[in-house]
Amino acid sequence: MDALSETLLDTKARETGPDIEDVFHAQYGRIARVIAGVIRDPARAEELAVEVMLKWSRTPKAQSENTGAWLYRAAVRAGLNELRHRTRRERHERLFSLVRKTPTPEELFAAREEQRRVDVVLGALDSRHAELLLLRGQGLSYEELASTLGLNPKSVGTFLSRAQQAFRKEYIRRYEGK
Amino acid sequence: MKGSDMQNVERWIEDLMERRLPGEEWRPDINSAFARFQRARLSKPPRSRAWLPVVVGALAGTASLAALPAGRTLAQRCVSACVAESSSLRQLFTESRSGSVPTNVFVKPGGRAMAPDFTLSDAFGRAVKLSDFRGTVVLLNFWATWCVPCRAEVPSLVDFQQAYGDRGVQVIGVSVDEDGWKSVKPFIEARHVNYPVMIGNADVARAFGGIESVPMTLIIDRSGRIAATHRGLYEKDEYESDVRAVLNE
Repeated sequence: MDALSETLLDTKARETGPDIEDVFHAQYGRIARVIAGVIRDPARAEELAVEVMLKWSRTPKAQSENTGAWLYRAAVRAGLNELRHRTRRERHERLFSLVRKTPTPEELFAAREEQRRVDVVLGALDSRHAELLLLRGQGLSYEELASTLGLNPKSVGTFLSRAQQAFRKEYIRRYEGK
Repeated sequence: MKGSDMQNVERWIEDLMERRLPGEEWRPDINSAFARFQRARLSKPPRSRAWLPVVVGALAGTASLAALPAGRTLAQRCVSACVAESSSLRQLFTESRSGSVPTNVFVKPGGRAMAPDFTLSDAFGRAVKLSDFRGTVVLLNFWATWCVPCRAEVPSLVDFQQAYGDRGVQVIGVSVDEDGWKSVKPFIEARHVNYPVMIGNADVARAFGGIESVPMTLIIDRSGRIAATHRGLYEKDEYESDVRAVLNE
């Protein structure tokens, strides 16, 4: 193929927008990981990651903006939604199960109990705060956090420490105040 | 709160968040996720709040189904709905059995049949004749843009052509897309396909005994005889070793 036709093809590829298959292969793994970090359930995370990619493929606006940032945002939100549903469900289940059964000390003090508390606290926090903490936990830099969540890069530090304080407060209120 | 306390809180929270992440060894299964994604994308229309047309559509659908000849089973109706979309060409090629187990038949030099010859036009309108490639080992790939495993094969075929072109190997693609270049041209341009691609026709399909499914890939030896017939996704390692075997004959 000569240089001219190669240039023409490149121009055409740019005009027709991103190829869905390429975007899927480039982003899916990362998205699944983000969600798994939120909900701590890799198998369910894979299902939700496919749903996020589907939503992206059906949202023309999402395809015209920064794909990576849109997907991160959508992934962490999908994870948080799942977390809130799960926490609500578990609360209902516990309300009934407590009548019949008292949790064993193992169940209470298992290592995963702490992460279950984190689930509850994250679900109770303001979404912005929870998103910020979770994405920071994924190793995103201040600049990446700013572009993903649409924040002013200069205020990311302030927002983040506010989110951390909110987390701490909520955790203490629920689990250490009693 | 003092600065050191703030740092402790920051560390505590970051540590909690980090411990939620799946282990480094966890690898999401991209291929099966992509297959699920494609299935959902192509089958389930976006959810809409306009439920009225859906109800009307369902009622109309029920009425038209009831009007069909009573002898037809529901299964036949489903099949006819799929086939109705396709042209007569598509009916010669049944739909991709992407879920089926691939089969590979490798024939030793003595027992090989001649590959049927054909002449088709490539994307630039140039005539490409299979028998013109005598003296080269040909990897003949029957595929379609709508077939997920076929699409998955294309990048590795491009790499393979790049690596083996100088060693006397030629990849040739024959698409069975019924809308022809309309789907195929943008696809091969976007993926910088570096081997000739043609649009198949009913005669070619018949000559090859009817293409039961795509992808289907044949390896044709230097004298134009069929050395291997592979149905389903052909992994690069596999066809690479088959082609090497033919090259070394």
